[in-house]
Amino acid sequence: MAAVAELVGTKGRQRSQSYLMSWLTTADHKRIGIMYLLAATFFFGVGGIEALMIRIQLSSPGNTFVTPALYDQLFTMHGTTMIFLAVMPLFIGFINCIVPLQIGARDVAFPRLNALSLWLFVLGGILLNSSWFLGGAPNAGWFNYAPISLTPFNPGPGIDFYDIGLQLAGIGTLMTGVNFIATIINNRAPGMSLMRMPLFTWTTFVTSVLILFAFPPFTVNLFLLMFDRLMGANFFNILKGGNVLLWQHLFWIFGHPEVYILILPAFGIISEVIATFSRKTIFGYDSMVLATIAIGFLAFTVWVHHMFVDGFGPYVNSLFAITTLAIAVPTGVKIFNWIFTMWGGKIKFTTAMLFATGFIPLFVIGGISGVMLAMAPADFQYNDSYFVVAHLHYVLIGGSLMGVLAGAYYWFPKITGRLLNETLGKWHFWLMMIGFNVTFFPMHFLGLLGMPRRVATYSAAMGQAVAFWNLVATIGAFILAISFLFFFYNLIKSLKSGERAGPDPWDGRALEWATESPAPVYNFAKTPLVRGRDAWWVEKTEGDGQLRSAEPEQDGESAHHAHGIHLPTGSIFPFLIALGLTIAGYGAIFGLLLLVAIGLALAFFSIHRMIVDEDPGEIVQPVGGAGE
Amino acid sequence: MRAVGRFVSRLKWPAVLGILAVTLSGCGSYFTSRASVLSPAGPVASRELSLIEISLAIMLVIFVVVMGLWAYAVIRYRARRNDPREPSTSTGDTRLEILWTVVPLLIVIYLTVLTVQSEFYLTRRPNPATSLQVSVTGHQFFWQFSYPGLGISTIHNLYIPVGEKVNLTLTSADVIHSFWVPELGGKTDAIPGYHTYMWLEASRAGSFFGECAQFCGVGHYNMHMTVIALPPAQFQAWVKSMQKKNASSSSARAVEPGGQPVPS
Repeated sequence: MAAVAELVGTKGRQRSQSYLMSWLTTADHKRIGIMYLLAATFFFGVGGIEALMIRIQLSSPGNTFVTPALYDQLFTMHGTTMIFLAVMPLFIGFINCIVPLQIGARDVAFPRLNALSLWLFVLGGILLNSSWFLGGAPNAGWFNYAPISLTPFNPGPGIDFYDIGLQLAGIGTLMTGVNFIATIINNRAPGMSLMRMPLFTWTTFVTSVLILFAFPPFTVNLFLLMFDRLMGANFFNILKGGNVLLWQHLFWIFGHPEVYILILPAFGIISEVIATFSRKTIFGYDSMVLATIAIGFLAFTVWVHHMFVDGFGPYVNSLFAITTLAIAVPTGVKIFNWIFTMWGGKIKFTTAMLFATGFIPLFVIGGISGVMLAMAPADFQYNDSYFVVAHLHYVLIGGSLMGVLAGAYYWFPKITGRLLNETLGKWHFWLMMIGFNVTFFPMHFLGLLGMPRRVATYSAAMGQAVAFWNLVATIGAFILAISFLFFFYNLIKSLKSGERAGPDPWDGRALEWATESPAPVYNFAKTPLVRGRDAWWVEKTEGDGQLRSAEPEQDGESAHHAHGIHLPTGSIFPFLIALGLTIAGYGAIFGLLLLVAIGLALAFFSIHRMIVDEDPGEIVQPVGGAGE
Repeated sequence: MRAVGRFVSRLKWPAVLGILAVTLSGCGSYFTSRASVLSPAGPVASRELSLIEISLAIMLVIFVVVMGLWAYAVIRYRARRNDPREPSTSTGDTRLEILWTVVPLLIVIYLTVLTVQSEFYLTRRPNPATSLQVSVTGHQFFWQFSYPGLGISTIHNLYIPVGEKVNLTLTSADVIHSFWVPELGGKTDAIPGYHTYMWLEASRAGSFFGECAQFCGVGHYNMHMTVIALPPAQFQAWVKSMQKKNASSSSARAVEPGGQPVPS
């Protein structure tokens, strides 16, 4: 952290607070992004350890490494952690660090709201994971279907931790969505028209819209479950007129867009990285944008494909099979555009580019199994079998996580000012490619051989093939884990002693490469004037290699040089709001009404203060001019 | 990287293919199991497997084409030492983009037709007059089967006649379960508060292993069943013997003798 702090552009800011307070109160999108990345990496490690325990348990038939009761908690927390606390916040971390830079903005539209999003995610994640020590982790799957999640079948507090923890983190995510919609619409530098935005910004925008529409159904669902479990309501209780499928519909109306929230930012990162290292502009920019929007729209029309075996009959299943199959078309357009971006290019295989290139075959395999799963009658066989486990890991690791890692190697120098070590990076890449495929490709076979998901163990009577492929998958999982040791070691080593990056180590195309690494607190000394797509590339090839300033000049000096740059000040209240809600959450879980009252009082007091306190902002004197 | 390329180009491909062929021919036992989707024993599972095979074949062709383009681009357009090439300045090609929108669309339409045909075939409920009716109830953690027309009930083991369509009506006594006998057909969920339907048919006599596919609690991994398909005459004999037991038993319904006791 100390090394990060030294590197992150806080130089321009005058601070009287302590080091810890400066992080707790920050409203700077770059520091918030870094905290997202650090917390999400921690949760990624936790989810990874859970995955390894799952694989050890399944390495041989009839294994007793963990009890079935613990196994159920492990797979539930593995899925929940990886989706809500690891992959999604990793993307939000990159979005925070990079999107304001890409659009030439000073910060996000609502900097303090951004801090609130962060703290809700961090504290919600801690609350969820504290369940391990406070009566048992959730154990009804990340999908948490009713009625197994209801008190009669699940009397312990685990499900309440799931409910409250995800409610807190989810509100944070929802506000992130709102924030980036507003930021991208309002805070673009002059000349940055929508169709000049970098594709990572575009996918962030569509992702934010998906968050805005997908998270409310989930929020409602979590409230209904909370009412049922904590207040004796009967939304899902069939004995009192409730309906168990209500949860499934609301969950998947959220859940399918959620998986696109996890993949669209990866599409954006892959587009940036492939274009940069092929030294070409992206092929078919317009169709890339249209495909992103189409995928985002279709995301809301396919949720029943998670429920093909619910017996809805041929008309419903056919309709949702068609909408699901349709998604293959815009996704295919993207794959071809990436390949043809490389076509005719001069490709430099840095580690970032290796991850972006390797993304394509893995994601194509995940897409292929996705098309096969969309065919409802075939899904009657695949559904809830290891075939689905294989598919979802090909899209979530082969797709989303490969995107995260391409982004990590690509943007680490921009975020920290130092390059990641390329040799360690290549070890990471190749070991991961081997480990990943050895782990997850056999799971296609396991599904077809009749192995259902979420089984704590399986009998040797299933046949030697089932035992064999499970053992292979476990060996692969350890290779995958070792590849990440290289990555974590690389992160720490490069942070301390990595090569200094300079502003533009990759000869980049978008605006984030036009400012220092790490970017100063004000991002750009002068608001840049954008003169084309690939805004920074345009200046390097058609201009004089300097950003043009969009600010009116007075006597050869811009207004900002004369008067300084106005930036939002930090505030402790976002943290206190999140803390108050978390305290109230613990109170609700354990039925301690006094704790609920204290927590809510703290939250409402802090909300009130955050609203009424005027933010005077601070004035920062920029060092040098734009692009220097 | 370059070393890898040299290694690949120097490989003796006939030898590699030979080794691969030997490995695959010995692979039979690595692709069989007690409950495999790949060894269907009835028209439902056969129909589903044929859909899986057709879609897989089409997808493999797509995979080879896309990966061929990918591999060509990755190898051909690598920056080499002292590479004098300037990267192309192309920004797109409308004809190509239309091509790779329309061709996948046509493939998707073809797959849609197959999907909808199979969907309607598999969910068409058989004529009650000519099919056996069975009510299936999922419990934590066992399956209960009752034959409403015959006055019999069993747990764990579902007896059916060979060559006859069996119409299953599913529900659950507690949480959601999913009925799955891979060799006879795909899944249908048993949902509390709902009745769902599926039909199965065994085209040969035998025991077919089945399991619960929807996570239903700590005993989920062990919620198994066996479907026992008997030739029609034997099935009728089994029905008679069960009914006789019912008549002599004080309880209204006999539990199938081979079945394990109901877990408490």
